[in-house]
Amino acid sequence: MSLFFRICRIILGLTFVVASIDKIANPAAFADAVYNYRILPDMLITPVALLLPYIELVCGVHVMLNRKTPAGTAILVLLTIIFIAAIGFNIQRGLNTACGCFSTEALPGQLKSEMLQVLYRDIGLLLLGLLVMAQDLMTSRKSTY
Amino acid sequence: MIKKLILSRTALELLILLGFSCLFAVGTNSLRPDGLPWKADWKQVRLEQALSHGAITTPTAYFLWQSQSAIFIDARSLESFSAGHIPDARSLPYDPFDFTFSDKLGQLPKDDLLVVYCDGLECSKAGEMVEEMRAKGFENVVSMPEGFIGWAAIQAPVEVGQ
Repeated sequence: MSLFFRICRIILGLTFVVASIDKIANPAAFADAVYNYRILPDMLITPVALLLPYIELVCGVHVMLNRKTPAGTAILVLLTIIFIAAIGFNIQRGLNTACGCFSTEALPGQLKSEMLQVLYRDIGLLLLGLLVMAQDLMTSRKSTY
Repeated sequence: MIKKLILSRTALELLILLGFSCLFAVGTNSLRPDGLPWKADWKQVRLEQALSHGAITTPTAYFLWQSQSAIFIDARSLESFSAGHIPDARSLPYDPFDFTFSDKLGQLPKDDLLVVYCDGLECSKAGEMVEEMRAKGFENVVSMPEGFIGWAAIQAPVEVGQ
């Protein structure tokens, strides 16, 4: 069972680490992608565009290193919930934003089916995150005794 | 007691993780030659980007409207169009998820200059519609990124109703 959870942690952590690389390399393009979501006020776009990729990177590495508290996983779960809400909100209001999830390449807006695919992928990631977080909580409880 | 201990450890690690992230973000941004300004006027950035991709300013659009050398396309909803639009503009609400949109484009002339607009810089529909139209063979199509808000701001004429 522990091997199963270890693989889950690696998949979860690695997904976020990989997702952060292009955003860190191209902050201006990622800031544009954040702006495209039309959710944040102007003053928050740069801070979010600069900070978010590093949170993904640091927490992704933290999760992969199998630490004893659910802190990293909790942040990744929270981020995934925010991504799901943002994509769902834009689908609902008919905005076809390029998600900017793994690549900051300036693609034209995605089709609804593609945005739904992104949404389903994020829901899968959320379930994986919750699974890892539950295991983290159990481990931290055991290690505290 | 145990719960408290786990919570305090988790909270401490949360702070450490977020602290490191902030440190990396601030550090790398200040070291990069192409670092982002922390406070940017994104509307202005968006306008400059649009203009560099062939969009036109509101005064240019006004000149085209006055000289009747372009057809204006309103990409907003019919409701917004009825509330106020550029005189003689045609309503063609843009919905990227509408698969019948290509058929609707067929009603537009390909030889005339077409100017597409929506609300303003906050609205990306005009730019996206122009991209889609260009992909479908419309060569004489440009967007007016400042949109209807920009049009009203220069106190140009406005028509109400359908």
